[in-house]
Amino acid sequence: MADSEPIDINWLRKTFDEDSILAELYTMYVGDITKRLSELREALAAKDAERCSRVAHTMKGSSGNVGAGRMRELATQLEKHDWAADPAAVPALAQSLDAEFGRVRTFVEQFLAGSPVAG
Amino acid sequence: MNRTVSSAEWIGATPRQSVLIVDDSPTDLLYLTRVLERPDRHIISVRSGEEALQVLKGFECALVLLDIHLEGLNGFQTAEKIRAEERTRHLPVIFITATSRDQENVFRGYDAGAVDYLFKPLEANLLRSKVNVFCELSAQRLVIQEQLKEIQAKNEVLHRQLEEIKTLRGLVPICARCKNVRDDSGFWQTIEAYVCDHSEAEFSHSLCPECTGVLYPGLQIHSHAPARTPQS
Repeated sequence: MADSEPIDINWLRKTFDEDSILAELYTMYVGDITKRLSELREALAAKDAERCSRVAHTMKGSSGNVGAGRMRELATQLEKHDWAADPAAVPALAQSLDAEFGRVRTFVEQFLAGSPVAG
Repeated sequence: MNRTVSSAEWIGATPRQSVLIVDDSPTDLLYLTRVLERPDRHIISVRSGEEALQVLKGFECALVLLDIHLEGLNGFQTAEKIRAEERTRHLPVIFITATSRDQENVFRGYDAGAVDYLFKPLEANLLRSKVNVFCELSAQRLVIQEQLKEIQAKNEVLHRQLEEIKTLRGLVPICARCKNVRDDSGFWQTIEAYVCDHSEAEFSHSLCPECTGVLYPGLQIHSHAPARTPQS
């Protein structure tokens, strides 16, 4: 089902006729989020709540633009999370983002390899 | 690096159809570029407010799409600097944000001169429509400016011609003996040269019947010109 897919392919397909543009955007997104997650890990290690929130905000924006719904939800939760009130939840959220990103990467690899994806 | 995220791709663009996009996310820059690109439009994409201000120093844009959350100068600060420059005071700015519809932020955007606000994820058709409107307005403004320049140039020509006519209608000193006249710079010249300089008139050399009679007394003259009679 499309709902369980990490990326809703119809989000971009309703805008772009060519799958080559989707491939270009997904590839850019995977590279971009790989860097952001690395930045997030640094912010967590430094216990820098502000930076953590800023990175989550950026991930939220780009995840929405490519149709990565679950990534967007998790990034929103992390951005809004009250670090001071519940510090233990922050690493858990970051891990959830990592795990979801693993699914995104697999999805994109399949898409680029030309395998059928839910649409 | 993908060419759409280069900050130096604005060289050689057509000014009237240029759109500047400022976003620190390469994914969002690429998405916006692909949504907005058209054969008659040039997209300039940069990743910071500082870069955007640099681009605007030497380049005419129809519109700026400005992300609010930027490292260094944020979107609001960048917009304020755009407003502070005479050249870009009236440049339309559309803010883009991934923030939920927060009223305080929205109003701050309008204070900084935002003409509109868009929230991520960006709906492509809405975005295209808005950007098309601003590009058309910009193109119309350039046409009007060109027409204004033409009108001003024509006005100047007319003004100069009027001045020349006034000069010819003014008091012109003429020598009582040789009939040379004195021009505005104090130089004496023949009346023909003076009239040629101050009007569109030209002279062709000829002889009137009276002078022909004096110069060539034996010559028979058959003139169809009416004889001039002094006014009473």
